Amino acid sequence: MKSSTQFSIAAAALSGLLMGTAARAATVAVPTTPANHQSIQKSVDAGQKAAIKLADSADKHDCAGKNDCKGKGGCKTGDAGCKGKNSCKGKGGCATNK
Amino acid sequence: MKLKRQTHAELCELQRRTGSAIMRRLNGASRMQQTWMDGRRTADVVAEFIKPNDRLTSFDRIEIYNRQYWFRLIDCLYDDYRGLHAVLGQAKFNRLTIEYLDRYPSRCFTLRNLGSRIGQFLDERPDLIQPRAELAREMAKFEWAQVVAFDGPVETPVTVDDLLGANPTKLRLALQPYITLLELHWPLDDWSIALKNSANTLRSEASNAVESEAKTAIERPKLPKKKTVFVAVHRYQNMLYYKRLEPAAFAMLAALRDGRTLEAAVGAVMESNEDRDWSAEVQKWFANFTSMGWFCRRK
Amino acid sequence: MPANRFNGFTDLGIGIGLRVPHYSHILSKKPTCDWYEIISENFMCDGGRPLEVLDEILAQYKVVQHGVSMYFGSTDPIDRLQLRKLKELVKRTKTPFLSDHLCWGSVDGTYTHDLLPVPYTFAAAKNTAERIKFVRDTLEIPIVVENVSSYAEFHASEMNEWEFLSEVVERADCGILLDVNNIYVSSQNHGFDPYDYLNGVPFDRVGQIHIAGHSKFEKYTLDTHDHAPIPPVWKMYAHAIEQVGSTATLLEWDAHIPSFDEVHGTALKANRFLSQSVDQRKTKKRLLSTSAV
Ligand SMILES: [Fe+2]
Repeated sequence: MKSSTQFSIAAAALSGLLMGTAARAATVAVPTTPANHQSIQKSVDAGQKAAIKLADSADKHDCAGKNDCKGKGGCKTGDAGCKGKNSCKGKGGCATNK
Repeated sequence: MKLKRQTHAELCELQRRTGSAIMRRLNGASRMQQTWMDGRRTADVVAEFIKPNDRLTSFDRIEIYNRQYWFRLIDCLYDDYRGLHAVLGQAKFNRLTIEYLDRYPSRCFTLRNLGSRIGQFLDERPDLIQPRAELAREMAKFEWAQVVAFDGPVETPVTVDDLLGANPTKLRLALQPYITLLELHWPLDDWSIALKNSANTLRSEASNAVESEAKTAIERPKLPKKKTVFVAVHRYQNMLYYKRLEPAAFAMLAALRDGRTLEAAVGAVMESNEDRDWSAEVQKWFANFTSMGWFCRRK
Repeated sequence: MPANRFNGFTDLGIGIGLRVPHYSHILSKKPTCDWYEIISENFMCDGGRPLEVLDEILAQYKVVQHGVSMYFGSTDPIDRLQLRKLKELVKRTKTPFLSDHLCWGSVDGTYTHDLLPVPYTFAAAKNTAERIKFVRDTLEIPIVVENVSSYAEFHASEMNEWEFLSEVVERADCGILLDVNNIYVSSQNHGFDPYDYLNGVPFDRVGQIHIAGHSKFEKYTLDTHDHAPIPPVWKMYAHAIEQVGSTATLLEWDAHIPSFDEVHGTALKANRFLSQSVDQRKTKKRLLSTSAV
């Protein structure tokens, strides 16, 4: 009994797989217009969008020198290392730098 | 011109010594340590290979690099683990990152992977994250999952041809490598969004896309209350999403991820509630998952 | 020498570094810009939004790859995986040439993620040149190496920095990405005349120029890329252009990044010097042909 139920759910899963795959293939094949883009998005439940858009995340690499921590998490204890961080902005000097 | 030219071995040794000075921990005041590993004065050691100038001693000059090293890497970890920072508070987060970088310095050319072992490290050093060790560990996992979802690899999704005529008792599928399934004991998805929104409201909304700085201390949302949620961290159309899953759907996806057949994975659903009629539900779930391209062929 | 074998015979004009805060402006408004420089490492990933953005940019603009982690001056073995990923990216972008720094940054497999100065020795020059050649031959693309800003010098040095730069590029037979701001910053930190450096560069090997802003502290100057170039750097740029000729120029701005228009507008100030250089060359040519008659 259990195995026949299990098999029928598995068959339902497979038909879902086929439905979704076919739907996806159709959206890939059809050029995205604003109208069908919206309808595709409506039919898909992707969950909650993270608040920050991916494009707004920071570049990891650059070739600039660092003398402070731009993030709030940098610097040990947040005192000596970051002390003067705000105060030195635009003044051309930083208390913690020689 | 020196009489004796540097040899390649001497060059290697010089880089080794310089590297150990640059990557050595800073002291409590975020300055270079005054005492070298062997008990000598650091100033004397670095003066052996770094020239002073008219304004700075050898110590001062190498200290610029020593501080840059830590500031750059701690900042990079902060960028990837803002939630963990919020859970621990600044002092603990700073201590954690310093201990982490000391234990697992970067072994990869890209900073993208700098925080890849934070989760493992938290398991090794629960003392650094007390009294919120469990929350901190989950937050770290949740945040690393976002790094993976952001730019992790993608495999070609399964096609209709792969599935037509497939036998559910034999069919094994893989989950896209950019997807992470997480059972969380706090609703960290909602909390992360609230956290990011609270930070964003403090950023100036200058036009024409400029980098702006958080202006004042961020008044962040209170730590979340305990509640178990099942989440898939993934990307869709290259945007980052947190998708809540029903426990049964989560169990099924986890079983497929772990290499079980479709039929066996469905068994995981039935275990949760044998009396429920799952067919329609399961069909809908799978249609949704595959429309997002979640499954690929198992290698 | 705008186009030469070191920059893949390109004549790119004036570009800016492609940075995240400008993505949406560039993608939606498609502003005019001769070219963008990308930091290779930010796109050496396996998928997702970074590559999507890159492809959109590539469809509209010229792009040149600039690296920060090849560490030509390191003595560690070159990371094959890194090289493979870099080659994949080179194929994707079709960059006409590739730049990275004349520096080291890793030791025994551990990365500092900084651009550290090399001791200016013959052993270091040989090591560096060999690595440049290896990377160039593997990637099958011209390479230009960039002089870095530095804050320390080694007792072991056997020559000055510009002699070292010349030694390396001659041995490797590669090009130079001349960063005039870096020369200025280092001149402040080490007390040399930046024009001695400029005049000591083998000009025929310059394939590209960088300009940027820096920060002056009480006892040292740091290459912070957080504002516009200052007048002495522009003056050096003008001098470099006089010597080298109209050359692909790029403004680097990596922190406190203002609007696209401000960054691009600042970069375009280079036009003044580039057009002067073209005029001067035309006049020189005319005079030469007149005297020949
Ligand atoms: Fe540069």
